[in-house]
Amino acid sequence: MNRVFNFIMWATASLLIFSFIFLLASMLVELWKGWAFSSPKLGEIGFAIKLSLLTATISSIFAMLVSVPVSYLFSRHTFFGKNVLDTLLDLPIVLSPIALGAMLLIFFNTPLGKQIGQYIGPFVFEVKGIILAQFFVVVGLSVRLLRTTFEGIDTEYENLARTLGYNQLQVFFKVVLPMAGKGILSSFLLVWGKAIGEFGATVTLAGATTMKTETIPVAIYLSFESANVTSALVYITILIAISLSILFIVRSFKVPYHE
Amino acid sequence: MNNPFLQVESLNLTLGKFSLRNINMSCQKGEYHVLLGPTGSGKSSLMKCILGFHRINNGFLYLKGMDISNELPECRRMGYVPQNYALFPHINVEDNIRFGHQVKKKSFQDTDTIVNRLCEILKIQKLRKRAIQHLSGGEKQKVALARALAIQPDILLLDEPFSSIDEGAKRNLWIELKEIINEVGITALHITHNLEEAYTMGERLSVLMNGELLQSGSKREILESPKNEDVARFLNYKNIFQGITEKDPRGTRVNIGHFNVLISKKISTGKKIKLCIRQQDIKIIRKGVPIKDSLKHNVFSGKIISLLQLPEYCLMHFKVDGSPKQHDLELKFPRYILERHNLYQGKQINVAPWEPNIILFSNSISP
Repeated sequence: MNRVFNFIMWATASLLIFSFIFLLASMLVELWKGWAFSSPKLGEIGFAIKLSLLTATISSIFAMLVSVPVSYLFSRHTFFGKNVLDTLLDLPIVLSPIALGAMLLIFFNTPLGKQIGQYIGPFVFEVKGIILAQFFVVVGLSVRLLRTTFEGIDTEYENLARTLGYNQLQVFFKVVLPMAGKGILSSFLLVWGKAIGEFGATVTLAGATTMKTETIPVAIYLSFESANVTSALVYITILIAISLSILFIVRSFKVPYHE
Repeated sequence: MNNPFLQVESLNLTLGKFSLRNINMSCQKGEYHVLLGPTGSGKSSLMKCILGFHRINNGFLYLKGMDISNELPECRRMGYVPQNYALFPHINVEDNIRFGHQVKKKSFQDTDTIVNRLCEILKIQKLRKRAIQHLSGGEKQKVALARALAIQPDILLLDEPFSSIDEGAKRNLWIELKEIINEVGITALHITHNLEEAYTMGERLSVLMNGELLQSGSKREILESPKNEDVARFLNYKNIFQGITEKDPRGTRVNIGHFNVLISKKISTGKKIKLCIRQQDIKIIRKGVPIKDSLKHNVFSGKIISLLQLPEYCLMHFKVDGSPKQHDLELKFPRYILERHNLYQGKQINVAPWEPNIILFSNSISP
């Protein structure tokens, strides 16, 4: 019975891993063959990479800046309606990005949205729209990841620092943040990776305009639209390389301090 | 008596379904006070109230005569050694000790001198540059102690400081810690559920059970005169009986049912009373040897039901002749007694409690 059980586990795992390897290999073979027929436009590729990295970095930094206090609050305090608010914050994780993008689009058609657009400048079909769309898609994830990090830090460290004369703000900066450092960095990388790969909300709010709002996922979409498979494969390869690098770096971090 | 150094007055705290009720406790200057109680009795909650982490519902906390009930934890000048030591893992030993000196708006005369002296007293000079992850349980405890003492607190609070130390190493560390604290000369409040630890370290003890402080007093007072049955049971005292007092020219006879216990104290007849005979206070009577006055009025004849030989002592269950119970008394004695009296299961012997040590629970005497 044990042998059968072990066989099922190993066989399922092998099948899944092989299917991933097969997908990657077939893509690389196609890329190799396609390169001979039509070389992709390097300028466009460079633009998409730069735009993706820039928007993802800005949106991830904003998401982290918002998530650090929010997740710390939720990890340390109990208050009325916490469960409801917690569920609301989880919404972007499960909600379809297209729906989220559509919600943003609708918001900017309301009087308040229009007012904001007047002060800060337009978001719809603009680079700012990409950043905003990415922010709303990843903020739920960053809150969730950071909350796990903060919950992993025993509150006794904070109590102890208070007895040594530190006030709450000093405790946060001198104890909590240094102890959560690795967790914050790995959360940032995961959030950044998700922001780079974001498509649904971006395309809904910022549209898909070549050399304007063309992030890597949008470029993949546009390449397929124009039947330029080689170009799409180049973008996919870049996206995979970035994603794998992030995952390897995150895995190399040790888990933050648990007692 | 001087004013208490730390005083807890009528403290009440509610934490969900648990509550601390009307806690009154005090520590004198320079005293080593142990707060003793079973797990879940509220010891840590009381300590957190004293430290300022729990806002008390009502009552007062005084330190050096000043009301600190509403002071923030960072202003209370209390050194704290938590159960898991909470040494900051991202900095080394020395930086942990110096941590309290790095806070802004706080001035210490000479950090280096303080740290050097503490490292010397605690014998941790060699550990100064070591990472926290590479310390043993005992070393961590010393570093945590040094960090707490480095801020030159008014009082030291220790929350089960030996809970993560190997059983074998604990006893030496009890003595070592006590010596260090005596050398530093600080008032200390230590909480534990371990009786031996409390007996070894405490000068005064307080017993907290189920959110209520049942007794507070000198070590001798607690050990020899537990206030009620709950305290006695927590101190692991067996042989607790309820009986009715009867007249006797030598004092009072307490009728327990199948045997009587004579006590020298005069109590009016017909009262319900609870008493406790500690296991170590029951002596085995040798045949043909004169019996001492404190033993001779309560000699019980019976049979050894079981004998348990432990590394440091023996436990015996004894049944009084004619008793319907499986056993009536539990005795505790050194191992050499076993051979001296040639004791074995089933042997018929005489035993007698040491009368002056029989504990009467004053609150149990019916009006």
